[in-house]
Amino acid sequence: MQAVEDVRLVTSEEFVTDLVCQLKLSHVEEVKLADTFEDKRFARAYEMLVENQDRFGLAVDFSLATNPYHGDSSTLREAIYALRDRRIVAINNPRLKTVEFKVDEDDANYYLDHSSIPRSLMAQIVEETFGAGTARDDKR
Amino acid sequence: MTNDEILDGIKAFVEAFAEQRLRNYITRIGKPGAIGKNPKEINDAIWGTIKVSPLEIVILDCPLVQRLRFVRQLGVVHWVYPGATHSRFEHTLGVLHQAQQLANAINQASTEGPSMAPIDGAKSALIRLCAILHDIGHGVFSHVSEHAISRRVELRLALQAFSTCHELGGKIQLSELVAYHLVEAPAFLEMLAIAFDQLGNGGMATGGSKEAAAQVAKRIQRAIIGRHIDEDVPLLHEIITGPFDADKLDYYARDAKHAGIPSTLDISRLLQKITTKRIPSKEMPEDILNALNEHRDARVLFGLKWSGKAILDELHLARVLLYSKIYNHKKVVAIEAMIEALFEALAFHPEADVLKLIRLSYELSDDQLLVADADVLFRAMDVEERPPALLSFINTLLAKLRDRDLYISSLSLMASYPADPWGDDRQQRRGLDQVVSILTNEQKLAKLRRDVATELRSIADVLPQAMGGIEAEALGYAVVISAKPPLGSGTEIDRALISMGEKFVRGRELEINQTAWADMYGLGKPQGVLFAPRECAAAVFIAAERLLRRDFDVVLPASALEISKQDRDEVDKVKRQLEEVGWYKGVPHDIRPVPERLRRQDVEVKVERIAAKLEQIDEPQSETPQRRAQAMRERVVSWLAQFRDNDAIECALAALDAMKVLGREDNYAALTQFAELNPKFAGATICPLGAVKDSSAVQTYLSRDLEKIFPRASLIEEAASAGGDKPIVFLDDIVGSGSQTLDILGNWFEDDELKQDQLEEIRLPFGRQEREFLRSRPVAFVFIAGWEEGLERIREAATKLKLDATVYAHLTDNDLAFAFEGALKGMDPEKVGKFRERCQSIGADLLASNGKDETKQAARALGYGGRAMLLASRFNVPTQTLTCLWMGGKHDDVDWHALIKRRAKS
Repeated sequence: MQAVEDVRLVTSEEFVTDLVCQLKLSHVEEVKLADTFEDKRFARAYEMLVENQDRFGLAVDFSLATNPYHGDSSTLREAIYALRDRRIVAINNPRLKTVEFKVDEDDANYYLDHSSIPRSLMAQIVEETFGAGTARDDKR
Repeated sequence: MTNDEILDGIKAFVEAFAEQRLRNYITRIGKPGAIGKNPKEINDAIWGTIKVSPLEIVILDCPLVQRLRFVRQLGVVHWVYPGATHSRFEHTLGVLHQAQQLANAINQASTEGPSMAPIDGAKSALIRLCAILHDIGHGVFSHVSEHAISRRVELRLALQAFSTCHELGGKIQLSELVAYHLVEAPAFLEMLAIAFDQLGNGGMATGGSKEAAAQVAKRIQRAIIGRHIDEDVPLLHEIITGPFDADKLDYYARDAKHAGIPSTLDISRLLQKITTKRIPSKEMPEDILNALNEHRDARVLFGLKWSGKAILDELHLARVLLYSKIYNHKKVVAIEAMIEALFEALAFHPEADVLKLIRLSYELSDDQLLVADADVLFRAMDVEERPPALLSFINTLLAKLRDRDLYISSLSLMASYPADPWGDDRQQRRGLDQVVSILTNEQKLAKLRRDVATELRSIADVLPQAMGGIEAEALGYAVVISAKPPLGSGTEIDRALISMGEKFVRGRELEINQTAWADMYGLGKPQGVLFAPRECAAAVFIAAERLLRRDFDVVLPASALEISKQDRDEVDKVKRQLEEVGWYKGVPHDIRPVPERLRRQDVEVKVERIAAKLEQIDEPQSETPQRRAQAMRERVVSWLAQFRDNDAIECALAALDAMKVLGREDNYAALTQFAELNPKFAGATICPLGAVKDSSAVQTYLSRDLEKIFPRASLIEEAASAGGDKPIVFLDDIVGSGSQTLDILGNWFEDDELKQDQLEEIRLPFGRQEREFLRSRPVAFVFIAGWEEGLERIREAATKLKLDATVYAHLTDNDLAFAFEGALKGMDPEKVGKFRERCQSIGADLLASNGKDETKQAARALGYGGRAMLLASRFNVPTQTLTCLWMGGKHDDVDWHALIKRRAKS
């Protein structure tokens, strides 16, 4: 493990922001949080991030692992609510379960370019965890 | 330190701590007859009588739990809500009581009869021990010190590593980790074994006392980190930490009661609505099954009846009210920031490390820390050196806490501020977002804090009195950036099982999301706050403002001051002092202090009047809009402020007041008067003087208001092609020195003497037909406004080209305003002279920064022609107009923002 001062700390908000942006660039417009389907996908994405953290000099400061008894991730949901306050996503639909991605492509590229996480890694994570075949009825 | 070193260090500290605190107690209870055999009753201020068993008395009486009497449940809240002095010990008793209430309710709701109650005596005894021990890991000031220490990145990563290793599905807190290790500490196990030996273990475990103690401790440990402790009732541990657990039921009520805040939570109804079902394993939620080891046909789950689902609303609401009214109260957060500053300062000690900070937070009680001085704290940390700056800062800080001389908010950080004139600006939005995103990243936050301190030191260097006596060395830890997470989704509450027929669904699956109102309650709250000692709060705001402008491209709007509850006059005063000593050199104008002249009352009226006039101008749209306010009023003020000097601003205000904007009515008046004076042009065709790209095309369009006098309008090429004998009126808005018109004529008639190559405009020559057409009839050149000099040059050119020409301008030199030719008459000539020099210097700089050579800089610094005209049309600003009004660029190495942008010709 590298020394703390030699690594870039990655927070849940940054990672979820990057995921949202990468998904947006892949023409995904929303995710639904009514059940735990997305929690599990985000958890898989998180695992990939952790697997790659040493290679890219990152230190992951959070866990998106799902709760062993309830299948959801409170960290994921808190991060999404924080992103709502930053107007990156909106949850202003009747059931407040659909998370709409509000970033435009310009902003998505900006966030990804300024992230601690390399774009290539984010692209790979999204491709492998959210890529074609794993999606359900999301708008694409 | 590595994660393992930190985690091993914490475990070793905790074991030593348990040994130190428990040794005498173990000796005491080991003596015959020391442990009583009878239960006791304790009177609790909130719940009344709470019965405790002899075994529980042994645990409750042990110094690790008794220690909680001296740790306040709400840390520092009693500085704001004087009644909120209740301790973690009182809360512990409350959780014990509520755990039993929940267990009773679960049993009563069971359909399997009293003898088959799902929570039997052994389970009940275990859950009660969990309740007593769930908070023994809290340090001084409860969560306050825990959060302060947990800002150390190395600790955060170590805690994360522990959570991952134990598959917690979240992150363990320091207090939970300490509690986890305390219950497995050898001294604790020894104490438990003695108690079991004398009182039995109530069926919680098998084997001898030591073995039983280890088994029970292991299960308590699991409950502390949120893992199941029973295979038959797999969510039994959620009585302590779950969607509606004993912890919440106590602290929601107890904290509200002691703070004097009403609570919406109806516990008796909640208990009534609990339902219990034995469910075949194959019908249980898969997530729960996945976490269980033993194979069983059926298991017991508990939740809320469908009719009780509204209780989730009450839980959400109670939580939101507690957070917004108590835990996140701005003054509470300010005091927490002081504790953070204390730990930050201690962390600066050369011998300090995260383990020593943890040690300190368990060595002292709340009151011990408060009455302590720096020496005591250093001793508790076991460090030798006594750096004087640290000693002084810590002693002052502790005295401030004792005297309630609290830190105040210097700057509230938000993703968007209300009434932000730059709110729609993409750079502003991104910059603010970047700042807010840093608040959750302790590594970046630490850097931000260091950067603020650096800015602050630069203020201290030139204006030490702005620091209020705080030593420069202490500035690195005097300022705290506090970030409270948003109230959030209430995920834990929404995990509650709700009965639907024979099954359970979770709260989050309900059609309506109960968190909606909670969210609304939190909207608009700052995401972070910069706290600082009162004495330097204004300086901290100013330091942060410069930092945000430079590093994040953020201009803090006026509302940032209001929301931060800053004293505007004090901030302005310090900013003006800083400007005087040159601190703002090279800093963008938009964050500099408002010059005194712009603070006078007449400015508002004048600016309103000027803004109303300038708003008539349709500025060219730009793909990369300049960083400036949208509203014209703001724009006028910020343009004026760029002059900095009061006298210059006075002159600039007068200049703007004198400025004329040509409108449709001027076009109408010009053509009407021209027709009256020159009746032979009645019925003439109006042609733009120039091409469709020129503003003359717009004036030609407007001339259609006078269709009765001038029935046709067309390009000259079309008019020539159509033929006829009607005169031609060339129309344009403004002529200055006449160069452009001469260039047009020179190109049309291929007269090199008339061409003005320096304008670098490309125009096509006329054919023979057009030239003869023009020479065969009266031609007029009509301008809405024009300089005599230019009009005369056009007359001469027309004569040279053998045109029967009339040259006319509706407004001429005497009707137009020129900044230094009468527009500022009545003002002090000396001030006007200096203003002229200033405008000249600014104009030359702007031209230079736009790539113009020295000759052009000299010739055009006050506008082309050098007359500092004060004129615009509704569609553009002529180049003859005062340069600093319409040209942007650099002046004194700082961006100069044009008041009205001009569309360049080429």
